[in-house]
Amino acid sequence: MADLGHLSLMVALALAVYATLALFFGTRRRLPELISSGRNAVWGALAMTALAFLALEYLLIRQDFSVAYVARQTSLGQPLFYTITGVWGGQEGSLLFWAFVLILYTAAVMYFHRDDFPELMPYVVAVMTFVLSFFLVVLNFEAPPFRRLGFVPPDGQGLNPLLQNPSMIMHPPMLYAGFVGFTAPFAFAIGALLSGRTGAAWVRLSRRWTLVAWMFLSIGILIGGNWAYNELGWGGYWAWDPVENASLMPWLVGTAFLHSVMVQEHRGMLKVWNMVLIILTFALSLFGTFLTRSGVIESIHAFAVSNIGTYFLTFIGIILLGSFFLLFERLDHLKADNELDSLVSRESAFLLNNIVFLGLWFAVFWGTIYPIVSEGLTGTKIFVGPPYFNQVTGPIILLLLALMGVAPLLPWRRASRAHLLRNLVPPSIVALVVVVGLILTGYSKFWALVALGIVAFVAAGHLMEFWRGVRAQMQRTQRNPLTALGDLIAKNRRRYGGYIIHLGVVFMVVGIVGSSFYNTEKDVTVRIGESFTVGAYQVETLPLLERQDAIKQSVIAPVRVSRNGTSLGTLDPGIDFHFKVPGGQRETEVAVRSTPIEDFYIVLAGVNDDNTVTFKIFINPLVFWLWVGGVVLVAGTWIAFWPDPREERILERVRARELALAS
Amino acid sequence: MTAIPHPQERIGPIPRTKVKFFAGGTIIVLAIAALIFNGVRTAGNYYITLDELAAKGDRAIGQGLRISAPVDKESVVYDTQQISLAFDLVDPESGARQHVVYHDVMPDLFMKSESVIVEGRLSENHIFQAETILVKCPSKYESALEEGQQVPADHLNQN
Repeated sequence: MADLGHLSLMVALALAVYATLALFFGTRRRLPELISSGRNAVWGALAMTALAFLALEYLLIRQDFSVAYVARQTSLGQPLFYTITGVWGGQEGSLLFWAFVLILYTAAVMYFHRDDFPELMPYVVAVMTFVLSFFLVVLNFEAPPFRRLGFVPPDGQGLNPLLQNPSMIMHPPMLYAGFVGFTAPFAFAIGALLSGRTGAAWVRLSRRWTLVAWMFLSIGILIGGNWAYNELGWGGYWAWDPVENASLMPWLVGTAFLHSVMVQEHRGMLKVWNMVLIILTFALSLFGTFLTRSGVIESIHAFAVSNIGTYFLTFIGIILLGSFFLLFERLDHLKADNELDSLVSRESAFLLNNIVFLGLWFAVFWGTIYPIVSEGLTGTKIFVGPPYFNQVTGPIILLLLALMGVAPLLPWRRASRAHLLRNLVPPSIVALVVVVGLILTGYSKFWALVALGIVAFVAAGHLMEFWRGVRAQMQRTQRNPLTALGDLIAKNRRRYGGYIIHLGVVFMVVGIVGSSFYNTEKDVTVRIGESFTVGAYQVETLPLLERQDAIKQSVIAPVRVSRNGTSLGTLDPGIDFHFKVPGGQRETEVAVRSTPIEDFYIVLAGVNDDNTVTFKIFINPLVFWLWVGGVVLVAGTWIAFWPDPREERILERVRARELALAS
Repeated sequence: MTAIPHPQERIGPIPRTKVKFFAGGTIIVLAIAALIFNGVRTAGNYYITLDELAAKGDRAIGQGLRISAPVDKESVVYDTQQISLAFDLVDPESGARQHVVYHDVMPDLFMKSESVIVEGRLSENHIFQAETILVKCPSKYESALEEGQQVPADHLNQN
């Protein structure tokens, strides 16, 4: 089976390279037979990559420890679930998974656009198979998943215990689906440049692919944060670790892209800028993998160091040079159709949003690579940690939030004074009321008040927009408000989906402000059987429990928790010891009681020799809303993604025009 | 809603809106640059060796530092009541030594580490006040397996 997997990866590489060349030259030289042969090669590459992926899964499930990857990712007694998902637990498997997801996207793009744009689509698919070829080269020559050990160990090491967690199962595939997904809009952009079809077509066609990628990346980041919170036991969800930043960076630039393409669609501006943004987004997706896999930057994510970094850096270089060369060649085709009419307009707000998003990206990027930069400049590595990121990104994020509140209230082209007054005054009053209310109830932290004021403005402005739409809809159709709301959203999914995403962000900011400005942390060492208090909570320690299964020993220090005298039940913080991992690995099992008001978060930090235990306790207000906001954000993306009759009509027009142009 | 392509003439003075926009954009870019510059200056931790730290003497006091070195395991004192960890970092070659205090729970795998990375500041009395400790472990996954070692069972409370 390992040989079959190995062989299918080699065939897949040959097919991917062939598909790239056939589609490229077939389109260039107008040879329909070559193009259709290239398409067949894509289906072949899909079959071969799928076969390799299934072969690795088969070996994992069969626990064939003669294969190095299997011996590392699974062990006897490891739950089957984690063995199946162990396929993306390590380097080789995750690269294979990446290639698999990429060929799925490629085939989907090819299939769904099979009747579209004969001049453009083969190029788009060729760009995707070109990227696929790179991953298959890495899989064949640098990180072969089917390498044999040369001996058969009696047992494997098992999946890294930190990854044996339900949210860690979903985190990598979501993140990859996001990273890989940006290949599609990137390929549309490059295809547009190659074919000279640089109008709005590529933007319209790729919009939903961008949204899919963006949604997966958002889910991936959120689940990652949730995992960190529930598993790592330091009471937070975001540590500005290089690997976390690696996933945030393409998200930031991708978000800028999602906004600025709207300006191109509506006003025919920013054509070059949009190209730059999507090229950068894709390059950052690759850079993310480079960061996590190369070991150039020290990270708590202890991945194996390998030569893979060189491969990625070279490929990123090729992508950037190639893309920008092409962009430069086609600059003449990318002239704007319109000029900026007024500073106070929606396009102007979008432009500012873009500048600020890129500024935020650069702040994160600079902090992440600063150890390398500073060593190059001064000879001393300088590291910047969470204090840098918090103090630099905080104000930028607030500015972005303010823009998010204002932009939807501005019209395209030019806003009149009356329009501004009518739109901006009510949410400003709401913001003011919220801030004054908070101050009167005793909240005094400046930045928290600023953030909550802005967020109140955003929420009020968006709800006002919804209310106006609902009212108009009700007058038209004489329906009840709820039906009217449904009709309103169904009629313009893009717009209201976007607003729902914004409201999701509002919830998330409330969660982040609550948990970063008003959290309490306490470390306690206590004799077993004794009680202690943290804030309003009374904690009574109960006798230790010990357990053992096939892969780990556990000790649990149950605690009975009550708040102001009301019992809240028992929590079971514990420590697991995974003895199959070489040298053993200790891992804390966090216990959290989450409510919309606050989380009570307790970690068993140590069991001491003198019959005492040490706990770390965090009380994190409003974290709940961070996750709620995440769900709302994903729901909004889903609404914006769903086919929209209005959008379909526009696409039909674009199609008709492109066909007329082609013939 | 699609834009009709009729490119405008690009002759004549640059529109005032454009000038204003570029001015505004520049201000924002400069502000972000200032934030980044200031952030790096105040929050940067200099990565230095124990020898460099010794050579700096009093000049190192108060500066953000990051040091990677092995822990002298003999010197470790972990007070579970106060929850504070004190230990010496030691350079195995030059013998340079630095006392470190960390007011937090001992990290997992601390006692098994090959070396640790500490971040923090040097106080007036030349004690290193660590804010974070990262534990560096031998790259356990790859090596052990390749050499065909068996996995040792270990005691639960190995700290």
